[in-house]
Amino acid sequence: MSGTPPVAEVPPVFETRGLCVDFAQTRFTGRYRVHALVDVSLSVGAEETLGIVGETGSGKSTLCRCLVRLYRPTRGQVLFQGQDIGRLSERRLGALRRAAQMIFQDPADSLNPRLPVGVIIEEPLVIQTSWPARQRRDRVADLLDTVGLPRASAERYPHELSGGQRQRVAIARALALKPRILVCDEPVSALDVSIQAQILNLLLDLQQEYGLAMVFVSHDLSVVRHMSDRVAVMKNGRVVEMAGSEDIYRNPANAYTRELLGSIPGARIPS
Amino acid sequence: MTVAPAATGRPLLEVTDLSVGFSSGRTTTAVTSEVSFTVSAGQTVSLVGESGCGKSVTAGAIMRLLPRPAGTVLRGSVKLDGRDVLSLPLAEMYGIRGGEISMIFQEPMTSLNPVHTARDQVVEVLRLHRPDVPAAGRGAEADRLLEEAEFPEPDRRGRSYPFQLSGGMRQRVMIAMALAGRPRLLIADEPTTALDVTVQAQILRLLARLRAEHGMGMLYITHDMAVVSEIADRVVVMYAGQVVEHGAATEVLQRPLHPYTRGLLACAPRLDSTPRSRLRSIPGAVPAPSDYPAHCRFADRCPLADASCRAAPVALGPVQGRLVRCIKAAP
Repeated sequence: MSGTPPVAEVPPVFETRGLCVDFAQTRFTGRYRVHALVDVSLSVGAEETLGIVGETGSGKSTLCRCLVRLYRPTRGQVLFQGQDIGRLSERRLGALRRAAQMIFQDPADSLNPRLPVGVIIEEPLVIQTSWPARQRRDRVADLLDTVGLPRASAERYPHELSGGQRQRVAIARALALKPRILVCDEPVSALDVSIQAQILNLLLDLQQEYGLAMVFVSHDLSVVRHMSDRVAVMKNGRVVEMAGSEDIYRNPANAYTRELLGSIPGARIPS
Repeated sequence: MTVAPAATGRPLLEVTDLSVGFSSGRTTTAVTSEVSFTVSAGQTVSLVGESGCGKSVTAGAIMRLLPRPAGTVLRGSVKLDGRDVLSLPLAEMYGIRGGEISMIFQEPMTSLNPVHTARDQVVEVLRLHRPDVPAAGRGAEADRLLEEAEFPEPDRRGRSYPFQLSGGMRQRVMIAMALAGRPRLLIADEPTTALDVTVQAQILRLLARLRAEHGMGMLYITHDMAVVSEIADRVVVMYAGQVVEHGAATEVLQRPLHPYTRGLLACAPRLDSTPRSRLRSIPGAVPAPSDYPAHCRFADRCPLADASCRAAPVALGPVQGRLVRCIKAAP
């Protein structure tokens, strides 16, 4: 890129370069390799939302897990603020763990059923800060306000809450360390539609308030389009199309993107 | 069980004032109240609402598959061609389930038997419900049914076990099993909710084709208004155990009258909405059956509610050619 002027650009929050992940599988028929991600290169800028859409097995969740180093890539790199996270020391990795937080599909599985909500939200503060107990408790109370839960819910256990309330707890825990980026893997897929709208609105508000970047993964194209600045369409571990969220729906270039768009029900419902 | 439809113009399925209760200890709580609707041959009626609104309980009551002993029908009747299904002897009910009325479910993996092949499970339905098919011909008939459900290469891939099949393929096996009994009514309980959107579109087209070809009535349960718009002739919107709006699908989708129906339609993001704009949401959550208020059950979440909504129970009444349970719905 010799033509671009040398500006001191802020590196993107996340960047992947030629990311490949293979999984070894054993079946009756023998061992073979599954290519879960094939040469994925993309980036997420500060305060930007990158949407990722694709069907079961397209590699969406594998990509999320690579970003926060829950998986190590087979080949390629994940850069966090310009640094290759595969080479980070344990100490430097702490910065990534604080700055990038993940929200999973089913909060019933990602919240410890034996801990009250207050303790769940406080846990990242216990591990990552040296704050005294009172300061941590105040922060938990603030976080409960932020996500729209009554303060008394700190004493409740996850099973006493509804699905939407549990996802609010997961969001409060993710915000505890003031992250720069949220990686949301199907955060509303397990929720009823009216609750889904509440959680999507909450995420949009929080993003604006805290200047968060976001990776938003869903199988639901309407939801991804609504939340994202840019959208990557994945199929069989590859990104088959990437464009601004308005463009990709108006002028889909890829045949698979067109098929996905054509499959969305509800075209006859008037707006 | 292939009785010709009665020529009386009587609907295939008549559900009248159906109330289902669940008991815990000595208390019985009504979870659905006075649900009424009909399904005619060749017609698709959609029961729509969020979890906990009583859709699946209503289907369970029709099939007499309520969890026992907790679930009971408190009042009302279910008639199939004028016969009261709820008072039939159990032996006769076994003939109806899987025969005249078939059902498909959300997650076929939990409804299929994991230790039998796809084809054997279709053969089993033929053995139980189709005395007209001789034992030697069941395999071929099973292949034909799998083919009708657009299951590819049934003679070869029909030997697969459920775990070897994708979600869409499993749902096709369920559909072949449902067709095997030559049902006159198909109850589909969220059959595409667990499927990818491209497979969902295929299954919806398949169900619409089969309904038309066989003249089946279909009761289609879903939480998704977009799916309703693809498949339903009539729609019954349920909220907190009650029917709140009931009418022709195109009319309800184009001009929803009950505030809950309007909310359901408005809160899902659409492909033509403004990205990153706030969505219309319905505050709060569906109340638990033990907390159903005596007045309008939607009042606490409703943007239109005032004191008059909380004064007395609200009846389902005719508004603009459909039934609506709201005193604020314009007459």
